[in-house]
Order: sequence, then C-alpha cells, then structure tokens
Amino acid sequence: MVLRILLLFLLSFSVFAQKRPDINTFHYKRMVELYEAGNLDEALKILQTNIDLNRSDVSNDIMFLAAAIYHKSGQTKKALSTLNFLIKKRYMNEHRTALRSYAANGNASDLSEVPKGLILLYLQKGLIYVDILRSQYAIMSERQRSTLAKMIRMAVDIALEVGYKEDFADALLATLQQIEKDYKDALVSNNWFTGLHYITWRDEITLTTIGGQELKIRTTNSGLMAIVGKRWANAFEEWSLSGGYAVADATVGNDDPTINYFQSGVASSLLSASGDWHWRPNSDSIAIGAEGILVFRSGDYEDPTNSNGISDKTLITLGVLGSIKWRIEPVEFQTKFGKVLGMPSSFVSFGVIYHL
Amino acid sequence: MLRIAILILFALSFSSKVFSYPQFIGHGYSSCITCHYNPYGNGPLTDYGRALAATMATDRAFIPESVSDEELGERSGFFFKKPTSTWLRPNFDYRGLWYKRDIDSETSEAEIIHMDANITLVGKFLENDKLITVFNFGYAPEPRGRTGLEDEPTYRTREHYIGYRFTPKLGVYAGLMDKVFGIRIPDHIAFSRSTNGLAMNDQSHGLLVHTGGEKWELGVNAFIGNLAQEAELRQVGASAKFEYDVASKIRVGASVLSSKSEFLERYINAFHMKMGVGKGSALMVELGESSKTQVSGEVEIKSRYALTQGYFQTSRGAYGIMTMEYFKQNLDRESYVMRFGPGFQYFPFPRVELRADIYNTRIFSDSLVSDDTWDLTGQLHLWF
Repeated sequence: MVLRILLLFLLSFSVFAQKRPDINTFHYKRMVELYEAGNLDEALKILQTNIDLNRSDVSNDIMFLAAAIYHKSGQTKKALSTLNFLIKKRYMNEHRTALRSYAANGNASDLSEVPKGLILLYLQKGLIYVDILRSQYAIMSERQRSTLAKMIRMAVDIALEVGYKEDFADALLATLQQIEKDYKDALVSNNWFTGLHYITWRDEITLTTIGGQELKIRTTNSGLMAIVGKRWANAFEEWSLSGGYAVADATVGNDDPTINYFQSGVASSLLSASGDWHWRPNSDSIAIGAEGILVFRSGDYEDPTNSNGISDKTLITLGVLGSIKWRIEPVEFQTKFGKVLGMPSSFVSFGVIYHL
Repeated sequence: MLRIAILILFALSFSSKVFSYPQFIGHGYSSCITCHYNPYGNGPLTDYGRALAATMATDRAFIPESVSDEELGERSGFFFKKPTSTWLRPNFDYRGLWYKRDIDSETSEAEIIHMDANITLVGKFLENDKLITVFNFGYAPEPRGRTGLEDEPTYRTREHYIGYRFTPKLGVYAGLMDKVFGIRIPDHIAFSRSTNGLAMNDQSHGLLVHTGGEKWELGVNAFIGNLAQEAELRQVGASAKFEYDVASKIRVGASVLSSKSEFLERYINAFHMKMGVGKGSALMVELGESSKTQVSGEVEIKSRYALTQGYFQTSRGAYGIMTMEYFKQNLDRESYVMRFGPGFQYFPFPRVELRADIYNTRIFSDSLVSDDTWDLTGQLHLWF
C-alpha cells in the first residue's frame, strides 16, 4: 500500500516544476533514480553532500524529494520540517486559509480552490503521520493520536474536495482506518458476567453389599447452575474465569438381583471453578473454545438398609468441555458439552449469560 | 421401553430431502422464498438460490482464484451450466447417510443408507415466474423399524404442486407439499419434526396460501393427507404459521396445526425464534406442545418439546452445529428425553455438502436409570 502511495507521489513531482532552471537538476535526477531503486543511503549521501536545502535557489521539487528521502530513511522529523518549510515558503496564505476554513466547518466544502501543490504536501505529511501512527499508536497519548488522525483526514478531505489524487487520498484514509481498527481490535477489555445454566451429568457411586461386594451404580442428574465470572476479550479471542453453583436432583438405581436399590429426586449439588479460552472466528458475536473445569459434587443418597452403605457421595474431579457462544451484547447464549473424569457419559450445560 | 422407542425413532427418521437451511438468517435471509420455489423452503432452489449456494455458502479453498464468485454463480445451473431454457429447471438431488447407532452397544454396526435420490422438474411461466409447477420423483428407502410398512414403495414423489403468485406478496400453491409448521430444519430426527408428523414422508396434498409484508409472513395450509396413502390413514386438517421480524435478522413466529384421520386426532402449537448472530451464524429455538388422541379409545396424550439449534460459521462454507433437544412424550408422566448433538456442516465445492454429527441421548425418569446412547452420523449431499 505504502509503496503504491509513494510511486503515486513520485509521478506528481512535476506539479512543483518551476520556470527558472534548477542548478541541481543533475543531482535531482540521480536522487530520483536512487529513490525509485530503493537505494536510500546513496540518495541521502548526494542530498547531504551536494545540496544545501537552506539556500533560496533550491527547487521545490528537490525539497519535496528530500522530504520523501528523509521519510523513507526514517528521519521523520527532518522530513516533516522540510515539508513545513516548503509550505511556508510557497503556500503560507493558502495554508492559513485552509486551516481556518477546515477548523470552522469541520469539512473541506469551502476548500475546492486549494492549490494542487499544497495538497501534495498535505498528503505527503499525511503519509508520514500514517507511518508514525502505525509504529507508535499503542504508546501515543489519545491526544497525539487524535491530532495526527485529524491532520490526515483534513488532507484526505481536501484532496477529495478538489478532486486531485483521490486514489491516493482514499488509500491513505483506508490505511488510517485500518490502523485504528487494528488497535481497537487488539485492545483487551474485561467485564464481569453472571448467568443461569441448565446442567445435566451422569454420575457413578459405589454401593457395598453386606457381603462386601462393591456395585457401581449410575445416576442421572439435572439442575440449574448460577454462574459468576470475569471475561477478558479482544476482537479475536476471549478468555474467562468463572465459578458456578448448581442445585440438582438425581435418579439413582440398580437392578442387581442382590440389592434392589432405587431412589429418585435425590438432592445433589455441584460447585465448579472454570477457566476457558474461546476463539472468535469471524465475528465477535460468536465464540468457540474449550473450558477446563474443577468440579466438586455431592449427592444426598440414602444408604440402603441391607447394605454396607454408599461411598462416593462426594467427588472432586476435573473435566474439559467444548463451548460455543452466540452473543447479542449484553446477552449471550452458551452451550457446553464435554467430559468430566469420574462421570460416565457427557457433562452438558447450556443457558444464558448476561455481561455486566 | 422409552429408550427403545427413541432408538426406533432415531433409525427411521434420518431420511431427508430437505434442502432448506433456516440458519441462513445469519446471512440475512429470513424468508425461504428468496431461494426456494416453495415459500416455506424445502425442495428445489431458484436460480438465485443456486447461485447463492454456490457462492455465499461454499468454501473457496478448493476453487482457483481465477474463478470469480460471479462465474460460480453463473455455473450453478443444472450440471454446471448456465440455464439455457427460460422455463424449465431440472434438478438432481442425492443424500447418503453413514450412521452408527448406539456405539457402546456390542451389536452396534455401521450402516450406509441412500436416503434420497430424486429428480425434480420445475416449470416457470408467465412474467416474473408467476406460475410455477414442481414435480419430484425419486428413490426413497424402505422405512425402518415400523412393521406393516414393508410394502411401502421405494420410489415415490414427495412433492408435486402448482403455484401462482398473484403479487409478490400473495401466492397460492396446490398439490403435494410439506405441511406448514414451525422451523423447517433439515434434521428429520429432530423431535419437533419426527414426533409431530412432519418428517420425510409426511407430505400432504393440500392448498397453501402464502402472504406477507415487509416484516411479516403468514401461511395457511389446508390439507387432505397424501392421496397415495390409504384413505383412513390420511391426516386431514389445516395448519398456519405466522412470522414477524422484531429486528434485523431476528424473526419470531407461531404455528398451529390441527388434523384428524380415522384413527388419530392431532393438535400442535409452537412458538419459534430464528436469530442471525454475527456474520453467517444463527441460533434457532422452537418450543411446542402437541396432543394426540386415539379416536377409538379417546385416549389423549399431550407432549411437549423444545429445540435449540445453533450454527456458527468458522469460515465461508464451514459451520459448526450444536443442537439441544427436549422431549416429554407424556405430560402426565415424569419421564423426558434430552438429546445433545455437536456437529459440523461443510460445503467444500459448489453442489457438495458434507455433514457429521454426534448425538448423545439421555433419558430422565423417576422410575428407571438407563445408560446414555451415543450415535454417530455422516452425510453426503449432492445436487446438480
């Protein structure tokens, strides 16, 4: 993008062509060649050894080229001061008028008469500002960002109003917008959330017969879980820490001929702590990811009278769940599906989350 | 018993010819008529629908960059051609299923079923295709798990109708069609379809009036059963569905259906919501209740179901699916079933759809504890 922009600029140098012959024509042509070839060190050498930019007879074309060479060489301050000097030298009145009008109107509607040379200088400054923003956006103050973005937008607006170098102006604006978007996308924001999920899981408890035989008995559980957590997110991914408490009921049964045991409506509860990471594939309204979960569950299972009782009434375990989120801020529908160690079959949870 | 019933239901309800994807509300298409000849989806696609399927819904990973989306759209006609006829649109459609039911069971075996192979001819006439005729005929596998249906033909027509749109906002359709009700998701296994007489072989002859405004749609469907069926089995009745766009890409709706045969009387009502989320993703919810009464014994059984199906687009042509279903067969009892199903749907090339699903079914009962069942399926869908 930037290369394309620079080439567009080079093609525009003739805008500054002056009537009187330039004493540095030879050096100018050589520097253009070197600049186009990307040999900036050599171009800079010629500039510094053969041309005194403070002399009044140095052409505008050379000064503009010097600014471009300084810019490409990373000497941003020199590039800007050269362009500012050129603006003062050649377009001071027009520049003041443009600034005044743009500040008053907030747009370039009254600036259709701005000279093309001044527009080129504005756009070249805009290009330098774009590069500054690109490399330093994150460490700049909001005020600095705003000032530079405003200068770029003014250059673009004037170019579009006059109808000169519109492609370049559009590209400059698009680059600025992309920088702003990239920064915004990478920003990590955080918020608390709370929600309510339906959850269901299978469990396995151990019933010991009077004869000492251990029977594994499966249970089916379902209930509601209250969730509280904190989320961190940028445009591409999100991660969160959360805790939940579920009140559920279970049905437990065993059809072993030695003990006929069955209970329904058994009170059970589940306490969880989770950490998750989600990818936002093509929109920040959708997220898919995985969650690690630490679970403590207990069940109020009654010991059958003709047995040595039930063990595993409580369990601490770990699990991994796949998770998908659909979000229309601030509300989110979430489904989780996965495996918790010690619990046969799947652990399923789905419900609504509210982002505070 | 309930578990066996669920397994049977699962086995017999996969066959599908539905080509209607209501999740495309995530792409901004809330109404089926944009892409289908039938205003409630299903069946053949319009030229626009075919072009959209070949572009918006299909991955570009295997298509050379030199081929533009515009070209893909143009080649989306019958057998990769731009339609030459102004009035005839043939379409060939195939769906195959690989499935392994109850994978924990020792007797579980993988099976391949050719669910559907049909040809559909669409005729479109008059200005702006005001008049359309649709005729579908093809192979349909013998229904499984149901006794007494062994003689059921393996070739049948599931759709043939004539439609006339008086204005873009008012159309009348007459013939054999799917009944208008709820969200017409392509999964015939869904409780919302399989338990309500809205599955793959439940089309009915009838009359459909479809109308709508900028933000709403209404369909009223009077039907007399499938005339190919024996007269006493035919469900005769009516259904209606109303949908309203409460916001951009958010549509809510309600449906009712009442029908009766000599053996069974059925009444269903449901509310649904389709919500487009982000770019290409969607969430759909349907909640319904039905009542079935055996005419002879006047035994009424009321059921309740819920369907939540979410689609999320990971990239163009690739969708993850998460389905959560609830079904309480008899409201007078405590038992109910839940089914959870993560899946993946992928359109690698124009005219090719691949889909894989896992179904985990869990029974909740106050009188039994049974193991979950796990079923795996893979589907191949081709259309030309």
